[in-house]
Amino acid sequence: MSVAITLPAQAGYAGVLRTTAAAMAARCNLTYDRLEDARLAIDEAFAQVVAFAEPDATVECTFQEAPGDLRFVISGATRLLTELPTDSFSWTVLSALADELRAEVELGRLAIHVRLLEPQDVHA
Amino acid sequence: MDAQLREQQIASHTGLVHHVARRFRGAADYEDLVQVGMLGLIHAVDHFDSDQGSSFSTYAVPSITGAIRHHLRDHSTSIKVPGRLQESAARVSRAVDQLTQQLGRSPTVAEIAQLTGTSQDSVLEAIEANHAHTTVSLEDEQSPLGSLGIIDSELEAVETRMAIRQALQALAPADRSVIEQRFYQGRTQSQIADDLQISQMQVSRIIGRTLTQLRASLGGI
Repeated sequence: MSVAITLPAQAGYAGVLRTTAAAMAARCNLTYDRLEDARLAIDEAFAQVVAFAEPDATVECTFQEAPGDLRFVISGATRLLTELPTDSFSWTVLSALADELRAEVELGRLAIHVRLLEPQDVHA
Repeated sequence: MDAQLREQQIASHTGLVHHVARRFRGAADYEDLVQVGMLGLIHAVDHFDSDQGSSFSTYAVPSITGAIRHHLRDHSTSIKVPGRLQESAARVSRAVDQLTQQLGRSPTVAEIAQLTGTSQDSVLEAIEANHAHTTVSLEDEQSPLGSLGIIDSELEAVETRMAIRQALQALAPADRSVIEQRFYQGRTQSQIADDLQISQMQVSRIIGRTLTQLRASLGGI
């Protein structure tokens, strides 16, 4: 199943995404470790999109839910002309949290793709 | 540095102080924030070494932010979480640690709900409550470097690394150690909690709070 949210590119809205990410992580039956990672990852990815957003931009976030597998994409109109810098602290944090991570700048939009997998064999 | 040059340096960077102070507006009296931020700027002027290769702004912003944050930490009351939620957060915290021991892995929300005899939604609510007093006050900050256009024009890779190292150095040693273990050594929150003999929810809180702090001092980089 997928869930989509549109919100203003303003740091104050990060909480909405954190809460949603936690709820989605629970739906995917991720462990608490991974749930906390999901909250941090979405916070960091959102902050990156906001940091490089066009003024008055909106941000779109789509979650894909599967057992032990949470995916989300955060995107918004961006001031970036080339690629998202990957020597930032934010990117280091995201790389440590995500199992798969990719950023793309295309047609004036920055999109960050994040995937978190449950490594534990969880029987629920 | 001669006194006149120093004065000049300070005067020409007061805009930077206002930029940073504006991000904290609402958290305290604006004039107070500017005044405290000025102390941070003066400290930066007195300690800046242009031979290190980074720009003055890159050096000064963490110093200004740090001074303001210090002031806020000393003068702020933490956000109140209702007693009911506090209790359930404590119950969930204990359950997480107990289940991690029992299962030899981190528990799922369903497992936590089962042990505490509540719904999954209540567990999620408790997890949010655990973070409530650490994130709210810093939420509405804008990236000062980004808004000044510094990221695009000035910051080269070397400076970025320096700024990151500086910001990490400015953390309390215990916080820095947690961040390094989680993000540079790839250890999980439960492993760190086990090592430090604290609850995993405490580790979560430290990481959440410290990342917010780092993001503010690094301003998007």
